[in-house]
Amino acid sequence: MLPSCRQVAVQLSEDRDEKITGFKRFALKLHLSMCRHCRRYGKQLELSTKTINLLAHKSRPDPQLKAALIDHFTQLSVQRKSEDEKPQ
Amino acid sequence: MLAARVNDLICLSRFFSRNTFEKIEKKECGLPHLFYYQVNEPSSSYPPNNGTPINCGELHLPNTEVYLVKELLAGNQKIFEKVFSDLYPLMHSVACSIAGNAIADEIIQEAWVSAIKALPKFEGRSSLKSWLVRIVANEAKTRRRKESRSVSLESMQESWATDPRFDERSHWVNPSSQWHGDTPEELLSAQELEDCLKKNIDKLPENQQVALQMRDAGGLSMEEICNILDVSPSNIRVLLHRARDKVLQVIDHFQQTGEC
Ligand SMILES: [Zn+2]
Repeated sequence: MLPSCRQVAVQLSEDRDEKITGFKRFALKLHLSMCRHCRRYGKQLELSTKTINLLAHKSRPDPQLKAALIDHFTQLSVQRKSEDEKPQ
Repeated sequence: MLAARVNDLICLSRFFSRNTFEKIEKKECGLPHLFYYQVNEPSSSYPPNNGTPINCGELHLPNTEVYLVKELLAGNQKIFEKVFSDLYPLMHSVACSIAGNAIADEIIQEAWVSAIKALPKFEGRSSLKSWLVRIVANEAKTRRRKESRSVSLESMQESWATDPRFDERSHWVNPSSQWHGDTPEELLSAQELEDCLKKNIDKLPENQQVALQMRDAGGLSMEEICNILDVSPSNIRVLLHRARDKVLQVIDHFQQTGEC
C-alpha cells in the first residue's frame, strides 16, 4: 500500500530527522518515483530548511551586548584566578 | 571494551595534537554546524604540560568541546568571544521564539551571566552548545511568565486535516509551483521574502517556532531538542513538519505572487 501525497509530505520531513527505513522507505521511494509533485515538494522542503538556517545566521549580536559580556567574563575569570591562588 | 580503549587513545592523542583544533568543521543533517572553530593562537598553556589532560571518556565530549571548556575556565577571552558569536544566532532565535524579540537580548545577557558563573560546574553530560541553549530557553520561559506574553504552548489546532492543497484521497490538487532559485542565497536575495519569512515564523505557535529554530536554524540533534524541551521525538517531528510546511508555503506564495 503506497502512502498518499499528504503522508509523503509528512514522511519527507520526518526523514530529515530520523531516516525512514525498511518497507516504509521502499514505499516512499516508489511514490516519489511516480509523483512529480511530491518530488518537487521534497526538494523545496530541503531548500526551505536551508533557507531558515541561512536566515538565522544573518543575525548579529549587538556590539554593546557583546562588549558587556566579554567584560563580565574577563572580570569573573580574574576573580576566579585570584581566589584559586589564595593559600588554603 | 577494546573499542572503548582505542577510542580513549585516539581521544588522548588528539588532545595532545595541536593541529586537531586548528580547523574542524562538523556537518549535521546537511546543515552547517554552528561550531566552526579556527583557533590560530592556542593559549600559552596549550598543549597541557602537566600530564593530566581532561579525561575525554568521563566527559563524553568531543575534543573541541573539552578544549573549549578548558579555555573558557582559564579565562581565554578570544575563545569566549568566538563561542558567544557562534552561538548568538541560535540563542537569539530560541529567546525570540519563547519570549519575543523585544527582550531577547536581555535574556541572552542573563543566560550568559548565569552560564559564566556555572561554567566550573559544567559536567559535560550534554554538549556545551545544548547546555547553553537550555540555559537560554529556561531564562526565556521565566521571563515569558514575568512579561505574561499571551502565547499558548498548546496552540497547535490547525487546519492540516482540511488542507485545500489536497483532494479527498489526500493527493495533490494544488501543488507548489516551480521556484526561481535553487539556493537559499538566491531565495533570500529578495529582501521582501526575508522580511516575510521572519514575520510568518514569528506568527507560528511557540512550540513550532522553538523546534524549527533549534533544529533547522541551530542544527541541534533531535536528542538534544527532546532533552531541552522535554518533549517526545514524535511530537518534535510533528512540530517540525508543520513549521517547515508553513515556511515552504510562505516561500511558494512569494514565488507565485511576489507578495508576502
Ligand atoms: Zn505524491
